[in-house]
Amino acid sequence: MNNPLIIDTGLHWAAVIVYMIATVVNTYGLIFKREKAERASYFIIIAGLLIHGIALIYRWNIAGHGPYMVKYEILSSDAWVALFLFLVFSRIYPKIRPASIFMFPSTFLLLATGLFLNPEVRKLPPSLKSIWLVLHVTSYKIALGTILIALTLSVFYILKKRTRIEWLQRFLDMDTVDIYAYRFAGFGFTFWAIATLTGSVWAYQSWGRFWGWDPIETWSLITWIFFGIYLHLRRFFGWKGEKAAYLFILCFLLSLVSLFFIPLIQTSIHSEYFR
Amino acid sequence: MIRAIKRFFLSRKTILALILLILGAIVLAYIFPQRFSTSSLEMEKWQEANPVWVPWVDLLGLDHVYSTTWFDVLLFIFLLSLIISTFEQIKISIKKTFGHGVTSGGKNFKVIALEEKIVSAIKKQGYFQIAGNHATLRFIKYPWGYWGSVLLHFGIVFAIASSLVVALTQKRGLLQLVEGELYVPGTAWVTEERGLFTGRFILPEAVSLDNIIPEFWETDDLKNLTTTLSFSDPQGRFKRYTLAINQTINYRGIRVYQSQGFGDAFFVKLTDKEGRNTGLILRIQNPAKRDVAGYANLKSYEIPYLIKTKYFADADRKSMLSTNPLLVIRLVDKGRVIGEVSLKNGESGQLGPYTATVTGISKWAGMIFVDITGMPGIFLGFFIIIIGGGLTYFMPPREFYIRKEDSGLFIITWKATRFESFYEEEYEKVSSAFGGLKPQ
Repeated sequence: MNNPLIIDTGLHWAAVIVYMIATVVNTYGLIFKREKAERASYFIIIAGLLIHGIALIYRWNIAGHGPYMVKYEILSSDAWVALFLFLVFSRIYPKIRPASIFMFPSTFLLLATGLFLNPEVRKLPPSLKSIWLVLHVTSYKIALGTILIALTLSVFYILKKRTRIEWLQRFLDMDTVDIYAYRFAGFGFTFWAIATLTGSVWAYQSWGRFWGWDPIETWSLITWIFFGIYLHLRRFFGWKGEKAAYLFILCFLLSLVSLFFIPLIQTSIHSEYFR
Repeated sequence: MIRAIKRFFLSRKTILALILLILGAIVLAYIFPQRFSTSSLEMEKWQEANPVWVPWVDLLGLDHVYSTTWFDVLLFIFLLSLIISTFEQIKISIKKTFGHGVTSGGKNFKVIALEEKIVSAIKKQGYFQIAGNHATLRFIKYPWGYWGSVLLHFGIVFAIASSLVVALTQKRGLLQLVEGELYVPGTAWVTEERGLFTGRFILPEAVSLDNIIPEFWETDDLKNLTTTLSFSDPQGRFKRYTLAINQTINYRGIRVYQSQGFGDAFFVKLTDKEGRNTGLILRIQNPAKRDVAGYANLKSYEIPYLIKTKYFADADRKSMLSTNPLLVIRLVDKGRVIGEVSLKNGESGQLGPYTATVTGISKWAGMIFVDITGMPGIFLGFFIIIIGGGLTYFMPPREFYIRKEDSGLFIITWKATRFESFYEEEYEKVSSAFGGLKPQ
């Protein structure tokens, strides 16, 4: 037990197990209409979030920097932020609680995927030592969390319309699902913009350039413009319902490409991370 | 005519089409290698591999999309459309904020109560009394939300206009100096970028690189890179500055950044069979690890071959800070390797038709010199965009209207500009305060 990486991954696995239990209890509660079970699942998931939080703090301590350098810690912190945001938003907007059936497993899948990757600590290069980087990364994580919620609601909309899944019909009416998806997409768009702004301030501070058209910057801009088109179509062209839901799914896939796939396949100033 | 032009620029379809065209341009710039980010060697390689596309690339400037006339025109039309739209949005926002409002639509209920009580119940929900007329009282929650769209548009205009100022007036130069080397103002940069409205980028004083200090983590990753620069004026006075990654210096309005490029510079002498000597300085990027090489390719006018080089920070692969690096040179003629040699400092060996000797090794590092105006405008523009987006999506205005009928009944109407179902609780709270009269 002297190896800090064993403690680190051990804590992460403990969080995965608690998340799995919460997911099972939550799914049972929602599908079989057991309110007690559904309520209990929130206590369990909060326990998991705490363990996961401790794991991240421990990781931060041994790595000497925030969780934004290697895939393992990036996926772990993405999962934590997404779940934390969902819990906060489901408290403010209780109507979105059924989205837990997608959000809980997404969280533990993100985390578990990270655990199958190399947990080796990478030291922070000097260009990444900046408060703007912390703000940049945090904003993207918040954007991803809210986009995940919007995705869940968009998928709910399509499923409600296209299928006769009994338990799904119980939750929210179609219009409310649609409007919540729109709202969370707006949240995601705003935080994506903040992430881009802080990133450009950081780039200017480090290289004297606010924009360099590097592959990740370019894809991030493409994704942001797509989100902008989605919002524009909804607001000015009256797009809603299924059409808007499908467009949002496309936007979500683009955001995955920008955040996870481009850093893997292309070299850029951003590929210091996620390799 | 003017009205038709204005309608065209304000059309939602025009805006959408412009956004899609700009998006298309960005995708094109991503697919086709761009000159500003691709070395000439890589560019040539791409052209050889894609001869079908070369005429299109030349015709449409697909290798420099962001500096083509058609892209500038596109951006200009987009900017024009945004400016006109911003003025329209200002007019609309003034009307929405300070006008009498429109009482049609929304939800309403009737109530018999004292006007002050109704007003108090509405204000309790965070609504302000604004405008209205003699017949109708108007209350708005988050009236500034009506200005979100104005700010969003204004921010985009500001950011694009500022980035145009930057693009047109910027001067930027990269130097790669070896320890002890002096750069004289007016001589060539390694790379230079400048806007259309500027002349050559000439430093006000000569600059020399005094020393380079790289530091590494135990994992061989770079921990820090610090250099010392000296500026010298014509009177021979020196001013010394320390530069590091993320630690810039500002010298007479010019900001200097530490580039991430650094490594060892090998002084190599090539002697041909006739005894003629050619001196080369091979600047190679520092290797990422002690057992991994750093690479560089070089074309010299004096040598008719491609020179491919790599080096290890330590010939024994034990340290990143060794004074005993190992250089490997290959000569390539039309894709065929005609000679290869591995050398340490002071060693000689046969390299194809030459005898190669490493006569010295020094450190080199890159420095970026930047002279630009307009950056605060870009960041301010971004900031305004975020405020505008935030107001639009997080603070959609909601309104209550109170209208008194001849019968003495008050009709209370409520509506939200967006996301109505999120906020109808506010309406329900006011209606239930008056006995929960059934909404009509």
